[in-house]
Amino acid sequence: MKIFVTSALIALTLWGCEKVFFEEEPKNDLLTNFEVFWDEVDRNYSFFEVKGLDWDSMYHTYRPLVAAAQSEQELFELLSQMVEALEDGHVNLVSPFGVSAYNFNKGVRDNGPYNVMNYLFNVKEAGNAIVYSEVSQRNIGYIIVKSFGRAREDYEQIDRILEELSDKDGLVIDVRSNGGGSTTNSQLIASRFADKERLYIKIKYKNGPGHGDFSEWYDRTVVPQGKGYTKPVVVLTNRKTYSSSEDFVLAMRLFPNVTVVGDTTGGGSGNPIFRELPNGWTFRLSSWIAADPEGNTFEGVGLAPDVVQWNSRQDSVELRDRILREAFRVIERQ
Amino acid sequence: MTKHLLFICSLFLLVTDLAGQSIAEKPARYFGLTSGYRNFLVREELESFRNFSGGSIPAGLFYLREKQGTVFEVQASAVRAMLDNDNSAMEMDIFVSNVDLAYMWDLAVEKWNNTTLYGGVKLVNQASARTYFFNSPIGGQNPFSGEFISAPGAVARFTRAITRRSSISWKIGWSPMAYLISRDFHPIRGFQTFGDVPKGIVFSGSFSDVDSELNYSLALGDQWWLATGYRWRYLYYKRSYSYQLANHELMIRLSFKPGK
Repeated sequence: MKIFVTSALIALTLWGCEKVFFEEEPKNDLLTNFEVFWDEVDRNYSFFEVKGLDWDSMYHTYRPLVAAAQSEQELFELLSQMVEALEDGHVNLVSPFGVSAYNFNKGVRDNGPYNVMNYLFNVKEAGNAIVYSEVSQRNIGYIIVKSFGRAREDYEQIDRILEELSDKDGLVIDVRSNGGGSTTNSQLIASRFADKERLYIKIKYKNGPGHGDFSEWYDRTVVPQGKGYTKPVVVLTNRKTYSSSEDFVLAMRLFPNVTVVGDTTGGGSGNPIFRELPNGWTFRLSSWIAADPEGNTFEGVGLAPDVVQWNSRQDSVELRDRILREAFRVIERQ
Repeated sequence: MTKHLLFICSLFLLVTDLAGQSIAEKPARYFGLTSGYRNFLVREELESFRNFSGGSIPAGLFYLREKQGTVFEVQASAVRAMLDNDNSAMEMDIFVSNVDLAYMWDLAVEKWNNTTLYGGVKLVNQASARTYFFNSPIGGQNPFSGEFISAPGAVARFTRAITRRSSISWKIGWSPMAYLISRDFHPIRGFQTFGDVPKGIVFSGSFSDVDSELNYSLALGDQWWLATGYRWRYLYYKRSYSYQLANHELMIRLSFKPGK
C-alpha cells in the first residue's frame, strides 16, 4: 500500500508543475493589443523596404493615441489607420467592429465582367469557381475563373472544359475581379497553356525579424500539363485581379499564344499569413516578396496588360463589355 | 550537421552492441501495444503567444529485451490532437511521433526491499508537425511549423517487485542536448526546401527534455502482461524563438512475451 501512496504522490507532484516554465499570455488591454500588433507586423511584414515605410514612426505616432483611447472600437479605428498606411490589400484586421482593409482599387474604374452574359450562350458551370460557354456568333470559347480559392477538384475540370471547347478558334480566359486564392490552383490552370517549362515568378521570404531579413530568391516555374492548348488565348484583367490571380497572369503572359487585355492588375504579391491579438482579433499580413522573372516587384504596382482597354460609363449603361469585345478582335486577328 | 546526427546514433548503437556482447544468456523479449490519453500544453513563440492545450489518444508499439542485468527498450508512438485556447480564434492541429530507445544496466546496487535500480542511456527521436487554423472570414496561409529532434540523454529506472506477478517502476530521463531540425523564422508553408531549414546541435540552455514515468505491471498468465502508468514530460528548445511542450499521459500497455 505504501508504494502506491508514494507513487501517487510523485505523480501529483508533477501534475501541473510545467506551468512554472510557461509564461503568462500577454494581458488583454488596449495598449498591449497595440504593442502586439505593432510587433507582429514589425517582424513579419515583408514590404517595409520595398515601400519605404517607416514603421517606427507609426509606433511613436499611434502609441499615445492608443494610450488615450477608451474603448476597443477606438483601438480598432486606430489600428485600421495603421493597416491603411501599409497600402496593401493583403493586410486586414478582423474584429467585432468590422474588417479593416486597404482599397487597392481606390479611384479606378471597376471594369468588372458584369455584362459578359450578353455575349455568351450555352453557359455551363464547372464547380464553384469556373463558368464556361461559347460566344454568340463567333467561334470562340469563354472561361471565367471567379476565384482561385475553391477546392482543387473545381480546377481539375479544366481538361474537360478545354476538350469541350476544342473546336473553337481561340479562348478568352477572364480573371477580372478574381481576388486570388491558391497559387496551386492558379498554376494548375496555367499549366494547361504552357508551351514549355518557364520561370514565371521569383520569391524571397522573411527569415528573420529585421525589415531586410530575407532568404535568397527562389525560382518557381510553370510546367506543361495536359494536352497543351496552342490556339490564341486572351486573358482579361482589371484592378481587382489580385494575388494568386496575378500569379496566373505572370505565367500566362509568358506563353507565345497568350495576350493580356484589360486594365493593370491590383498589385498584391505578399502571400498573407494570419496572426492574432490578445483580445482575440485576427489579422493577416504579407510575408514574402514576389517578383517577375526579371526581378521586378509588382507589389502595389500591378501587372500591365499587353492591350489596355477599359469599359466606359456609357458601356455600363448600354450593357456592353468593351474589354471582352477587344479580346474577340485580338483572337480573330490571329 | 548530418555528421553530428550519425555520430550520436552510432555512439548509441555501439553502446548497446557492446553491452549485448557481454551477456550470453538467452534474452527475454516482450512485444506490446500501448495507448491511453495524452494531454498537451504547447507554446510556440514563433507562431503565437498563446498556450494551447488539449488531448488525444496515442497509439504505439513497445519492444523490450531483458538479458541478465540489461534492458533494451524501444517505444514508438504517434498522436494527433487539436489544441485550443479559450481566448483564441485559433486551433492548433498537432502531430507528434516518437521512436525512443533506451539501454539500461542493472547498477547492482544492493537490493533494498526488492527494488532494482537501472541506469543507462536513451535516444529520443521525435518528429512533430503543427498547423494553426484560423477561423477567419478572410483568406490566408495557416501558419505551419514542426521539428525533428534526436536527443541523447540519461535514464534511470527503479523497479520494485510487489508480488511474484506484479511490479511497480519509476523511470526518469533527461536529455540535455539534441540534434534539431526546425524552422527558425520562416512562416511559409510549402516553399522551403529541406536545405533551408536550420539544422544543428542545441545544448542545455537552449534544449531540455525531461520525462518521468510511473508504471504498474501485472502478469496475466505466463506470457501476457498488462501495465498502466502515468507519464509526465517537458520539452523545451530555443533558436530565435522558444518552443515548449508539456505532456501528462495516462498509459495502458498490453505486452506479450513469446516462448517460454
